[in-house]
Amino acid sequence: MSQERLGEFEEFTLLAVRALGESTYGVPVQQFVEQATGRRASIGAVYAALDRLEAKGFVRSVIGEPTAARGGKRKRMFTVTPAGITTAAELRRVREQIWRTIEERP
Amino acid sequence: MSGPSPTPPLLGRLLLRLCRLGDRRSDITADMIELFHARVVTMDRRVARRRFNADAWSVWWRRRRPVDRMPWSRPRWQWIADLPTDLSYAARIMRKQAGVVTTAVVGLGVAIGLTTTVFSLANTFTLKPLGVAHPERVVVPSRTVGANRTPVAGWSPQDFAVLQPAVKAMTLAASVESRVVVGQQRGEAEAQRVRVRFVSDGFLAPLGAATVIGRLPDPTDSRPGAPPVAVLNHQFWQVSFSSDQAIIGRNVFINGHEVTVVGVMVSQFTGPFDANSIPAAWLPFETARVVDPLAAGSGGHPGWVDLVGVLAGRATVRQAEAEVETIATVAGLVVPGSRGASGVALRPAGKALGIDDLLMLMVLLLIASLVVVLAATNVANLLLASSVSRRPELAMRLALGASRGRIVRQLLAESLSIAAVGGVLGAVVASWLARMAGVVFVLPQFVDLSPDWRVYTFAAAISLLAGVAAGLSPALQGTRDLAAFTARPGIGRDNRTRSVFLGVQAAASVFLVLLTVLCTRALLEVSSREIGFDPNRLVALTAFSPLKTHTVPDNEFFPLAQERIAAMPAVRGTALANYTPFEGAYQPIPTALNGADYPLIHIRTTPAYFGVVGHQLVQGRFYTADEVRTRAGVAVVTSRFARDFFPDGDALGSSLGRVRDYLAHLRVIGVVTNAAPHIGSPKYSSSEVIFSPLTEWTAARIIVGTSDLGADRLGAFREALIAIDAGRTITAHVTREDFERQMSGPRLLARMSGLVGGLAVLLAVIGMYGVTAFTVHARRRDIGIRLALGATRRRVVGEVIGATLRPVLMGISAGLLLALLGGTIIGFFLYAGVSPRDPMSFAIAALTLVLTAGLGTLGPARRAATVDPAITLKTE
Repeated sequence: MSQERLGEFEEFTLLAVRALGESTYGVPVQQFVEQATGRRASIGAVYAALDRLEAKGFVRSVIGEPTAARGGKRKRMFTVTPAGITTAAELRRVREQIWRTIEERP
Repeated sequence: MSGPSPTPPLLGRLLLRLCRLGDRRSDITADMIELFHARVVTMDRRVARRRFNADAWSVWWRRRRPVDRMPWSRPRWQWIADLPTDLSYAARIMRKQAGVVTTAVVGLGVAIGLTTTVFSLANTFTLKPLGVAHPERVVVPSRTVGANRTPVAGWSPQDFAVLQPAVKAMTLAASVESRVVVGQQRGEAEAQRVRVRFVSDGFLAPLGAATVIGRLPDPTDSRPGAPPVAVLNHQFWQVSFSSDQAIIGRNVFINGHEVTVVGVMVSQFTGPFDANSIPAAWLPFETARVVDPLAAGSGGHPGWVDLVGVLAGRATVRQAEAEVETIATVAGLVVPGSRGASGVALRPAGKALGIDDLLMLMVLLLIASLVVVLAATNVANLLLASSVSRRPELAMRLALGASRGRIVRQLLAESLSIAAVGGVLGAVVASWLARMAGVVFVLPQFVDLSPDWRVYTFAAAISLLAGVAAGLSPALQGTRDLAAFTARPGIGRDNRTRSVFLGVQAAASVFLVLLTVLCTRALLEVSSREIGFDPNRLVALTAFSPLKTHTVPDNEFFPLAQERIAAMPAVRGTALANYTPFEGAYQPIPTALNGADYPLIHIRTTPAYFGVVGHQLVQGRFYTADEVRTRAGVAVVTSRFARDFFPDGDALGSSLGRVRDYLAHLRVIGVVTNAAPHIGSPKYSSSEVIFSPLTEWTAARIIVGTSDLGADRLGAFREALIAIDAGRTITAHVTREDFERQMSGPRLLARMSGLVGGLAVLLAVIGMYGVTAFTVHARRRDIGIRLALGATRRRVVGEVIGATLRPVLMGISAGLLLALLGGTIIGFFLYAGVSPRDPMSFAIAALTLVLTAGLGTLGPARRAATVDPAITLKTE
């Protein structure tokens, strides 16, 4: 597993970016996390998590093209990096292993 | 549902504005707005607004920093590491724009120099400690009277002889001030009348005095019969003797007597006196017996010597005060519980800062600071133009990875560099102005305006403030939306900022010009005021006895004094009054006329007063000696007073009850020409006068009409009064000197405000010229197109001038409104009843600024009219 740790919210954010396709931006990530977890997630928390993920190398961001729907404003588009995919997969493997152990107990 | 799309709540938007988002601002704001609109559709509008505010708070709380390549790796103090790069880049930019930068630096330098000079004046007279080694250890002992322990002047040489050897808690010394005539040759026409101090043995050394050449007076100079010697004040030596190194051992002539110069004091030592009383030289008491016998003291004349003490070792003021009081009581110098001197108090040496001094100081600094605001606004406009024209360069830097904050720091470094150079120039200007200040402001002799650490700190601080103030807005404005930069930026927002700067400049300028107009009008009013007599032919004598040491009762002393003085040569006559012309100490009686303040001075006199002073009778008669003796209820008023309070012309025979109730017993019997014996404080400079018979002798002054105003004549008057009663404190002064002293206030204000107002106009012209020239240059393509399409040149010129005049007119309105609201403060310092809200002055100030704006915009506007569309469009 990667040396960098992931907090719970960071993990949700990373998985949301992965689930939303090739690249996505802050608004869909926030909506996905809120819907998936059933808890309120402020956009500030989502941005903070995305910044931390980028600093750890699990996502990367680029400035996208402006769209008319956003009044000509650009978007910052996030994509999961290979390191991020590997870390997310590793986290999933560890969780599944722990649950199997719990289920196998008499 | 159709209709306008809802707007996110103001609170959330404000929070976002306050948050440091750097170059993420655009996309984060757009994300939040998109989220808001999505929630309006899927949830309730109120919920959407609440969530927007919560999201803005979460973004603000997490204090998002501008994202750059390595957001977590920049050290906190990176800006220090970047400083050399920023400064060298700033130097390169300044070299490329030398003309523009020079204009900015000169304007800022002059403004900072002027402000620093005003501060230097304030520092010299109020903040600078005394010119002694340890000013906190120097105290002045005074005798006190009454339960309130009110200090009164008054020690005699005999008192000093008793106290000095007995007091151990401090080193006690004595001095006497005198005015003498000093020349390098006997009978020299260029001889100067200066203030000197005769000092006791041991006066100078405990105060930390030292000589730059020669020596201090020593005990041998104080022996009876010792030859006269003097130690010169450093500045006096520099100015009057051209810093002659061979001065030691040379003789100078003081009051016609040869005195040997034995030393020149160091420049830092000016004695335990405030800036108004610095002596030209220090001489031993023994020398006074030769050059000024009257100053040397005769008999036990009280109030003759000034004592000063330097606390010894760890003694406190309280301990020293108790010791001196005990010794003085034992020696009978004070009598506790008596009506006379009943105690001793020690107060710190030097002048205490009063409320009026503080207010004047703050107002002067405010005025000078407005000039810096003007100059800084000019710099801001120039920097704004520069940052706008450099947007391609700045956008390229952003694209290469620099954050907006980094670019703002770079631009601030440029403005601070301009301010630093301006500050250095300002220091040079201040030192030049300090030399001129003595001429312009009629300062007391030997005032040293050379800057100390306070002045340098002030100059540095004001340069820093000016640099930040001038550079911050243009830096932020010039880097706004750089990420969305297009090839041809719009200049709409920049024009708005420039207009704001123009408005601020116009407001500050009109305020300063208004102040100039008001102060000048006040000076003209005061100068042209009919004072009703010639102050060049009067001497005023006082003969007080604050310690009740007099031996001859007042009702015998004053008639005898008048008789003896009247018998002297060159004396036209004498009279008594409770107030001498231009004395300045009188508190007028507050009265009102038609709802406006009408301060009134009530002078009580003997009948001879009118003839001696020179008041001409217009109607009726003067009161007689019998009426004075019987304290009759009669009064003589001035023509202006009679006209104001008795407009029907029925002053004669009328009671003064309509003026104030307690004056009802006085009946007008005569009207004299107008008299204005009081200029003094600005509050009372338009006071009027009424005269009535003298009823109380205690505080009487002797007015002497004489054309001989020399020191010998004054000395003779004093001797004559001392010969009658040696227990009184006698002073003699020439009315003309009092008049000049009172006129110095309005003159100073008029000169200073004139200097400042002139500078304000000059800076305004420079600023408006610069802004208009830039606007014409930036819009030359538009102007070319308009001319090509048929617009007349006159219309183009009109539009260019109008674009500058509009914000200037708004600024003028704002400045005049502020002056209207702040009129009470301005009025505190105006003389002769000139109203701070005088419409004529407001009109003159506004017109001056409009003409200034016209002058500043005319050149560039005419250049706009000469734009050749064919050339301009081809170039574009």
